[in-house]
Amino acid sequence: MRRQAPRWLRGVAGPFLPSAHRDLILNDLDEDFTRRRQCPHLWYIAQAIHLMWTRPWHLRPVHHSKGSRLMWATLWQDVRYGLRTLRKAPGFTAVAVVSLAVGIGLNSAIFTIVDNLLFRPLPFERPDSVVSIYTSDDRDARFGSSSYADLKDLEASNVVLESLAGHSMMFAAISINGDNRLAFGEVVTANYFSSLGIPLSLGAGFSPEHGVGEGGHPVTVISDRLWKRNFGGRADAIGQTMTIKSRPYTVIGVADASFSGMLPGVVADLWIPASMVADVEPAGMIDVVPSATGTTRLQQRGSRWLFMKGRLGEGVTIEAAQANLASIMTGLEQAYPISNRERRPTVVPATDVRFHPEIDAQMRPAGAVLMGAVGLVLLIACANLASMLLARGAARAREMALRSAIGASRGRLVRQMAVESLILSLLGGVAGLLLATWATSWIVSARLPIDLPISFTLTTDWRLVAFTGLLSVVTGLAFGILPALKASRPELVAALKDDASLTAPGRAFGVRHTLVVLQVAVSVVLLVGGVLLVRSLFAGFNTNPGFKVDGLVTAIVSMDLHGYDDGRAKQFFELASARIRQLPGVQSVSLAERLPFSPNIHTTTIVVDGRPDATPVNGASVETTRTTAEFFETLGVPLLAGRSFDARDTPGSTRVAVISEALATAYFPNGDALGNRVRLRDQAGAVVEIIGISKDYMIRQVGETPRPMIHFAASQRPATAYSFLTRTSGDTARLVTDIQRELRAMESEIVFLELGSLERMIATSMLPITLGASVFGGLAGLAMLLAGVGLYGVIAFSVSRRTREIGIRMALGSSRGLVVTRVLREALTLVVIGTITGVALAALAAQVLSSVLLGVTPFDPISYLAAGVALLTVAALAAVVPARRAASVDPLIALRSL
Amino acid sequence: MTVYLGEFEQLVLLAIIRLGEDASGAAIREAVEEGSQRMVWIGAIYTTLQRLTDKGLINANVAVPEAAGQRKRKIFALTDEGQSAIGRAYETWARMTRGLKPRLESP
Repeated sequence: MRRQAPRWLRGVAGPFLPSAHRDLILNDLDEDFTRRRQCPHLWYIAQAIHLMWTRPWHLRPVHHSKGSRLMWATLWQDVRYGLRTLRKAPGFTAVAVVSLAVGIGLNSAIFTIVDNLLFRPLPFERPDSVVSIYTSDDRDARFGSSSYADLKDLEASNVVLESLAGHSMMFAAISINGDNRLAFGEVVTANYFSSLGIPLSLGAGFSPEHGVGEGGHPVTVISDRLWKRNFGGRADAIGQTMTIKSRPYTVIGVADASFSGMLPGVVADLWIPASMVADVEPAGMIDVVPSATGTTRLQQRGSRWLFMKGRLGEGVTIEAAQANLASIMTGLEQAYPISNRERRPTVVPATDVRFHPEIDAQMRPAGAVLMGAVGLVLLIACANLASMLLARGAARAREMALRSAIGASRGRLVRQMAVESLILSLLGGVAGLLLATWATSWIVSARLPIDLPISFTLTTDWRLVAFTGLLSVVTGLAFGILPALKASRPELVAALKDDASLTAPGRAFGVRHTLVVLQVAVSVVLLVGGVLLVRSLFAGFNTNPGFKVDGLVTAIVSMDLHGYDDGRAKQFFELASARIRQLPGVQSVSLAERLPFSPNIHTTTIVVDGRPDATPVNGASVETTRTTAEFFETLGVPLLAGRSFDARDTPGSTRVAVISEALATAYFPNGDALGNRVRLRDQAGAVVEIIGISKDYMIRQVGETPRPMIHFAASQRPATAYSFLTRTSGDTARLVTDIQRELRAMESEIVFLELGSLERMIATSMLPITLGASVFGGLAGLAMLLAGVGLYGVIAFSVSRRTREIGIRMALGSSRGLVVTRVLREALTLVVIGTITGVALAALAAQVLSSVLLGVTPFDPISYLAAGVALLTVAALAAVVPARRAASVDPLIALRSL
Repeated sequence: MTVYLGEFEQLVLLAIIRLGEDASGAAIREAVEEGSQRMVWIGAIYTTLQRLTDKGLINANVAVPEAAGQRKRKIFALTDEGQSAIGRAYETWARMTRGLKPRLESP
């Protein structure tokens, strides 16, 4: 007997052929199928596609006008019918719409953040010709900041740049009409706006004269936001004044609303010329080495607080610029051997830089992982929609058959289903967009646990939103039409009798089963990632940082902001320390230039005095800080040898330092550190005597390997900015308010750069992991939920399809327990296959996380076990409900419906 | 009026004559494919059949199924004009190839 062409081939090809010729053409194709020996299926489809392509029947003119009018009328009918059916199944509609909304909304929101922070270029004019220029003397960390003096020399001598601008983040104590606060902004060279081509919406901005001299140009350009908030968005803001460090500044420009400074996502509120840097506190990467020249931040060549942006001249390559700047830097090294030793420039395209090349390198993989995770959630959401549509399509086989029997054409039925899916996708898409908008604005308004006047800005890329929307529509259409094709096949009699369950048991492992396995696998991947991050978060908080964390309170102030000179600041700090010591519960008080886990990083290089050979790595930097004598006692870091600072250490005496164990081992492997001398910078640098060795403690982040660290004596070098570090036996929150009150009493306008417990600073330094863990955990939970819904749908559908079968089984004596077991077994098979696949994938994917993880390996068995158990629990819950329903089937009713 | 026949048209007409009562689109396609030793799309057959119909060289009848399980087929047959057109083409061919056989063998 000759093979017959399977019916599905007709079903696929039919709707695309013109109705006038359809049957005859299909009959021909069927005939051809039976005659053909090799790959008849392929040949059938190829023929059909070729027919669609060439449309040979078009040789005969056909009039369409009446038909197309009819089409529009019936389309409207389809839309109304679709809405009605969706309203009749509110549960189905809600789950489908919510799945889609979550998938689309999350994707858009997360993409917006990642794009803003990591990929969106800054709004420079002709961005391709802008370069970021760094200077460094450390080959392993080439992206250092630069001094103002070096910048000026580079600007004057180079032949490759059209212009060279410098910028640094800063905090300024500002006062506008009685509104006093700390503001975040930038100190910039006078050519910053003009050189980078950043537009001003109002005012003339900085002119070259503002870059001349020191302290003579109290002018500022303000942000669009500050302009609207504090100056009412009026044009007469230009020429008005605001106060920075008690000095009146004239507003001479308002930056365009599209520009919010150099830091992605963070809003800068004002810009002041570099000539006024003494009035504010530069922040970010500040590297200070001894300078032979000058006393101010602008003069000192060793005071590096600026980042540089240059605009390449016409036709100049990056390499040419690098070479020219390098030769100038070599010249500077010869002229200023102390401060500029081995200082070399690195030029990179500014479009490649977001925060800082090193930070970018850390954040980009994190961003990619995050995008991958939300992509997976979208995948699950789409799979859910697909599986629900398939189930629904199968359940409506009878309706389709009936409509077909009373004369509906196949094309009409397919279109009906397509319209329904489209409505569903559109509803999901709109809900997703709303969710995305809401999530983005929620993130923007979220407060970080840092007391800095930082606020965020994000702009949505609507192309992505459109893309995710399109994806959902395509999913909806594809999986909506598939069951329609299947359901509208002309097996009318069986379908009308709703006999599908007995006549066609269906394949054991269909598309929907595969989708569930896929969902489970993806959920496991996300769950493992989430659990790994949560576990490393706990591990991080439980790591011993080398000191006792509880009971420590910090208050960071910069008296410089309030116009104090060194002498007055010294007096203030002494008096304030004495007053804090009197507060109830206080055990000890100390001052330090930097605290563990504070975002400011200070480094310098040292050499062992008289022994050039004894420096482990040429130019390797060590962490520096400056403290009072009580620092070690307060922090709770024991001294292993020697003494802390005392009354002998005065500005006039030999400079002394307490070094960390790690530094002692690195530079003095023979254990003779104590009493030995090191020099700052090189053999010509200042001499420092080592008077003590402290135990190691963590300084930059939790979980780091101990870093070489050198503590200088606060008593030997005056400074205007310090952190109070106080240990209390009582309540830290109480102490915080007490300290605030005491210091306010001494200086009414005092601004705290940071005030709170040290525990909070640790929490801040753990922020990346905390955020990662909560985002991942949330996504994983969501994925698990969606997978649970998907599983429930498949099992529930399978149970309802087999109601009669179950009825027969029970009539024949099967127990309820056996029925439940059978249903659960079906569900668990899917889940187990999915889990195993997921664990294998997770083991591959977890390696991406290995750089972020603290204290757990990417193959941590507990995490995998936890993920597996969590998923199985949800799966069991999802399967139990339909299983119980199966068990409650009344055999009499089930059989009667035959 | 003399009707000129293209090569593919000739092949289709010859296939219809050969197939007789069985000259459906699919059968014609297969016959042309076998005879010409090249892959033939059914779309190309339809186009040619349409053109031949428009020229009045063939006509089509829908064959009603005789037994259950059979389907409707469109069966093509030559009209008188078709007969004489393919006859003329054959005669032309025969005249032109007479005596040339040894020189027309494929090497």
